[in-house]
Amino acid sequence: MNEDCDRMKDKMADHLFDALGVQDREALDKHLAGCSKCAEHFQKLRDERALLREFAEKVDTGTQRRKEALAEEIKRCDMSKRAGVTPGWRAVALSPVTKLAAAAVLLVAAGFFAGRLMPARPVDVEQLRAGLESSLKSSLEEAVHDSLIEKVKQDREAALEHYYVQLKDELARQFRNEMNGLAVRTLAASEASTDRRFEQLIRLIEAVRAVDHRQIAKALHYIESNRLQDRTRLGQSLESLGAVTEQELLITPTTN
Amino acid sequence: MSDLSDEKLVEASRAGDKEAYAVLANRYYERVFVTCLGMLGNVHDAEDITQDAMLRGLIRIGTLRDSCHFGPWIVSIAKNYCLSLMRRQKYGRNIAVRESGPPDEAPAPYEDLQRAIAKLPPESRLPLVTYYLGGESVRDVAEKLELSRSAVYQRLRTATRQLHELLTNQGDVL
Repeated sequence: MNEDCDRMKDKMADHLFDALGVQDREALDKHLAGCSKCAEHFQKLRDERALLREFAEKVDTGTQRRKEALAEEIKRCDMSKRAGVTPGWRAVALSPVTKLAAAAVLLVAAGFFAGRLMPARPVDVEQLRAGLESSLKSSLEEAVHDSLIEKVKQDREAALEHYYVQLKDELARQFRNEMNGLAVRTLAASEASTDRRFEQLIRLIEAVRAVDHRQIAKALHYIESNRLQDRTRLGQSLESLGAVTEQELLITPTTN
Repeated sequence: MSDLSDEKLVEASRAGDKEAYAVLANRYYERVFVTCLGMLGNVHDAEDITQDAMLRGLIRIGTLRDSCHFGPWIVSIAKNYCLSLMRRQKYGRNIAVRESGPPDEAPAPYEDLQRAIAKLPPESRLPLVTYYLGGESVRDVAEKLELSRSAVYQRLRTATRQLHELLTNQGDVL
């Protein structure tokens, strides 16, 4: 067991989880082919993985049975212990309308029994009406107040929700407009910039062409002057050749 | 009913529909069970805690604020139950196995394996169990445990080595 073997142990674990790259895998295969201890260790790891898989499968086969048992327990569960849930009858009993109706019933019943128990005397209709009115007012005021507050709250929430949606739409619209404007401005700026660049490029090309023209003219002038010099020198040479030839012809005696 | 969304099932459960809750429990059973098994390392305890947590969820469904988050909510209930059980029975690295040992139905090779799994440190055990019982997907493990993939690989690598040591030196504590 050497350093290489220790390093390979990490790679073996990675190999079990398909986390090895091609090069590392090749290196591991090469090492396992030449190291019997590591090959044995790797085989054990693979056996353990197979055992874990079998175990997981076995646990999984019991899942359906456990689910069915749980379903039965849920059926048997006592729902009266539920927390945070208002039962239906309680929700109805606590509603403002029910409170209002109960207050009215109690009031009428109280009036009825009071009338039955009190000795008979002339009925003061106005007094009775005023009393009934004040009594009704005091008993219903709170319920009506609560109901109104609840209504106002709901209206306010609905209005807020409405304004929120409107505001969101408006913001989205403004954002789109601004983005469009920005895109148009950017495009225009980009076009202007491109035009400037083209102009600069054209001027540069013109300048280079002018330089080229000057250099070509210079070269042509140089060639022409050289040609003239050559022609002059050639003429002079021909003249001297002619003179020499003439003299030689005069000196040479005639054989005939 | 099984194709209804979590939100609708939660609403129905709140109204007292046990059938709707049974569908939710069935849907999240594996996730809760694997979490419990990963924390406790014992199938029998994990079964009990999963059932208790699911029934507790039925009782407390009215307190769930966001109907869309039933999954994380029920898993957190189960985790609390596991922690409570671990405290009560002094579960942990050094005393990891139930006194009664693994459940009776576990055959011999799985007994040793379960003992070894139970002895693994929790930070290795949970990813290992979640990986093998959750479909062998590192991505799923990373999502469920809220870890990066590289962290999951690292923990699986460590767990593999530790498990091997435990299986080859039976009875030794890491």
